[in-house]
Amino acid sequence: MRVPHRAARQISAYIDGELTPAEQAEFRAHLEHCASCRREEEELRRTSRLIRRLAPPAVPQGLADAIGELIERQRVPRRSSWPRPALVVATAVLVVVLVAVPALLGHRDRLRAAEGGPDVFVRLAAEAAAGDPFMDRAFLGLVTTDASLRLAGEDPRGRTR
Amino acid sequence: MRAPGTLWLSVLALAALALPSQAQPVPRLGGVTVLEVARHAVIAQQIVDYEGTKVLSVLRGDSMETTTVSEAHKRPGKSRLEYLSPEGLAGRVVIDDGLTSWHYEPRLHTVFEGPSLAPPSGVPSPGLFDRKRISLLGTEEVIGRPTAVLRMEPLAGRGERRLWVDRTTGVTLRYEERDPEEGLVMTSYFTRISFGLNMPDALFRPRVPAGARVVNVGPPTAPLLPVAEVEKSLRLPLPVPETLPGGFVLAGGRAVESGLLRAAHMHYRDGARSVALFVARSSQMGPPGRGEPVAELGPGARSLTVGVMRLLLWEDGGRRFTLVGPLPVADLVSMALALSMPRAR
Repeated sequence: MRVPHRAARQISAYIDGELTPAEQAEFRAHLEHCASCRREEEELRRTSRLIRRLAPPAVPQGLADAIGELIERQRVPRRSSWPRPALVVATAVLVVVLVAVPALLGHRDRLRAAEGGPDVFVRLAAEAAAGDPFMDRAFLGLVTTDASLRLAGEDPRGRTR
Repeated sequence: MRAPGTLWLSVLALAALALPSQAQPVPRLGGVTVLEVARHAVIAQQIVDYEGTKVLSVLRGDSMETTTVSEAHKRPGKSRLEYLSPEGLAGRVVIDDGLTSWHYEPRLHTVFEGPSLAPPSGVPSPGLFDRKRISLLGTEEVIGRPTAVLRMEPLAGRGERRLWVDRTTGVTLRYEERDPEEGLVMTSYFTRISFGLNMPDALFRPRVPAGARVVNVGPPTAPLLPVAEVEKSLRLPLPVPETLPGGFVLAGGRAVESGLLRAAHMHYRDGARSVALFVARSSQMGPPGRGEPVAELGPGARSLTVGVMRLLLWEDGGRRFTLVGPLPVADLVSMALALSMPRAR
């Protein structure tokens, strides 16, 4: 029975002694009958001998450092357990925008209402009094116009407030 | 101008339309009842044109301020007021066409536009004389014209107003308001008056001076609504009683807005005067930064005098209450205490 031709990588494994004893024996038997595989085996052995004879190539000076530097530069930094400053700032801004600003604006509006509310109410009360047909109109005009001026932040008689 | 006799007939015919069904004994003046004279005073504003100069004295704080004003009225609801003195008021003009009022302030070169302050038009409402006692004090002459002197007092309240009603036209030539504690708080009288001048409409049409700033001070006054509707509109519980000490009765309320401030405006009347109660969320209106402390109403409560009005501000149950009226602070405090008491409406 003829042993079938072997692939080049099996011949290479035979040369390097990487086959099992049974495979070694089987391959040797095949070589006795197969001139083609013998030529192939001889060729590979010669190449291997030539390579072993060659001097190892010299590594260019500084290559290792350059590669190391490149690797260092491209390395993704490890995440720290502490948030980055930009993240802290962004979070703070978000908190200010979503919480503090409305709170401050609400506080400001509340203070404004406390300051201007009484003048608004005086004017509205005077307007409501217009429904009284006996009310003196010149008096009513005086009260409402004074209230409008107070709402505008002006003294009704032009005095410095 | 109509003949005086014709005018009287018109006035009495209109007055008869609105006479109350319940009869009450009233003194008469030449065959005319005191209520008819009072109605005449109301209706005159809708049927008489006049122009005159009036002197107005008003209690502001601890002193009286006297003002001179040129007053013109064109039926049914147009008016023009031009304040002549004191110096700080001189040149102030208020024009009202029955729908809108314009106030021009020369020193600011600004026009303030707001709702009309004209009295209600039409036949006087049947409830106009409810809860008030009206009596005829006699007759007097004012600037040479015969007048009927009326006194109006709230049945359950204090204070009074007096009107000198021109017997020919029905126009009130003199007016006074008195408080039992403070005495005379306001008085006005014409020093001259002319009737039926056929004044041009242009006199009652506002002309914004070139370059003047126009400021809108608010929308037209909304009609009064039941409390429940105001509560629903504002989503704010309003524990307001139907009556307040001094004989003030709740007439209704409305939701009002100024900037971001939304409040309920409840209107109380005693038959002669009115008091306004404003209720806002404390989260929308802080404690007042001015005024005198009012210990009875807790920390932060204050009383203020703003022109002729007195204000009382306090907080209760997350709401900021403000009472506004031409009343002594003691009266407002007793009202506030009544409002702060636990109650079920």
